[in-house]
Amino acid sequence: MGGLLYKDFVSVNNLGKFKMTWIMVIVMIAFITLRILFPGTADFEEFILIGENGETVSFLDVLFMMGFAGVLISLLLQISAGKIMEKDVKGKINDYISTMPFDKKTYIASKYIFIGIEAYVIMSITFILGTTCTAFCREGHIQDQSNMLCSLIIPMTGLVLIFASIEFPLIISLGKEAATRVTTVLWTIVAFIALGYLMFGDLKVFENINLISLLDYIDEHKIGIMIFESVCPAIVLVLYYLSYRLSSFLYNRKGDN
Amino acid sequence: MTADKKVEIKRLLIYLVLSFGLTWIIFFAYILNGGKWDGSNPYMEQFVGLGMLMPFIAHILTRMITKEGFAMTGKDSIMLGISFKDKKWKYYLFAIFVPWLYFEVMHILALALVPESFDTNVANDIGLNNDIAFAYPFIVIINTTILSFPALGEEGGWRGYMMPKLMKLMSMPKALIAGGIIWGLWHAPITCIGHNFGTDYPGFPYVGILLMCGFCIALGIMLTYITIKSQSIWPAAFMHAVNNGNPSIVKFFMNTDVFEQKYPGPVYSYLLLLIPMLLIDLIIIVLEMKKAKKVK
Repeated sequence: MGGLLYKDFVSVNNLGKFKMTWIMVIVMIAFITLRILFPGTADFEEFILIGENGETVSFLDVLFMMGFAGVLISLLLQISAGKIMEKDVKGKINDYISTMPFDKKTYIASKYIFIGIEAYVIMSITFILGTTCTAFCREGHIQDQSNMLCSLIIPMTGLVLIFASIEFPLIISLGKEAATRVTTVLWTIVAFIALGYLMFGDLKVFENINLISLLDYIDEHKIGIMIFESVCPAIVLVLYYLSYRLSSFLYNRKGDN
Repeated sequence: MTADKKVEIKRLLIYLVLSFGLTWIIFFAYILNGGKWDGSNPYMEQFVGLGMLMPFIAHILTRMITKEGFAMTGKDSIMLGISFKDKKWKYYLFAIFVPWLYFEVMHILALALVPESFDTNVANDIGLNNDIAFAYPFIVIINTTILSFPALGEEGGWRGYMMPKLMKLMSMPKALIAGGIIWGLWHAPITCIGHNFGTDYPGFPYVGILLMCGFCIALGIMLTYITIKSQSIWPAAFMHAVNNGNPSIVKFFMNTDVFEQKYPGPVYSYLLLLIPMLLIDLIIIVLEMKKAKKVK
């Protein structure tokens, strides 16, 4: 199992001449250093904005928060079932699997475990960056928004794992290209439904949706949201495990045919 | 002293210098900028709390200097592997449920000491209801286990490197006590600004530092036990994370203001916490001694 995980690590780590791990370390150190050197509380007049309510906002806080959001999204997009399966297809690894001293279930398990480890590492890195970004913000609603962004790390990582749970069985049963076509068709259908609703549906429901009403809703349903937030990771892990069982079954059947 | 022991002492010293050095840079940068640990700046306290990662970073740097290698599993490894074979899964269950147990016992003891602190309105006063109290330990266990990497940062150093070295240099009891004292002293700078015990207790900050060492010995015994048994630092990381989350149902039925009228400050709560922890430690020690006798 260790060897299979190391193989996947090497294949995703190499980005041409660069190593992904070094890029992440450099980005982390640069972000943390710059945030400490340029905190929101610093008196850089050219970066201070006065809001309509007289609230002082530091443009540095906005910049770093956007930077953090960008890093968060780009790191989460690295977690891709298609990516690690593609490397094996390109390297024709499947031809060697049957000669290796482990069964097909172990091979599939290694993919799921690798994605799980990747998700844990990326979640940890983004939490460090988010904590740093928030700690050095000027007190105010930007700091609260930065903190709210941090609280989205776990649900967003959960969403990525759900995508991986759907992708894996599709790739194993249909192949990478066919699986990509299927997911593209599914997303296109979702987009058409959304577009159809926006063109012909009742838009009055959106009139009352704004940040204040959202925060009021969260405040009113605090307990339910707290329970949902805590139960979500467990639900995601159960779905992830069920996906693994389905993928193992499909991969075994593929080999038998 | 054998040549091997001299090498191990050198390696341990390198690790301790790096671990204390890297962490205390962060702690003192915060303290010298007027930082306090009183909840007035929770985001900054959370950032300083990232100093928890330094012991593991020190571990990695030490291995680079001493060229001990980076084996993930096995003897003298980083112990990052996870295995549930030979019933090792029970140490993971120990890790996530035992902190809940000793926190509940602590709050029950507090209620027994000050029965008038029993209050069914505690949850309502903080905008929750009593139903959430029963779900709270599970919420804490799930959240802290998922975000356990700061605890992994500490355990990767203390249980992952320091304790194996101490156990090579001295007997197990001495290693456990020495390890706990070192770990407690590592917290000293932030103990001096109010971490865990506040600043308003007799003998501040020396009593706080002593109490922290005692707490670290008590917790360290359990953490070392599950690390040795599972051959992995992950159960210790999970246990440390859950411990920091303070999971308890009974705390939602205890008015701490009333308790602190009789026993001011968190110091007394921590003294009560030591009782169930030391009891669990005693059970572990007795069971292990019995096992060792059987093997002989």
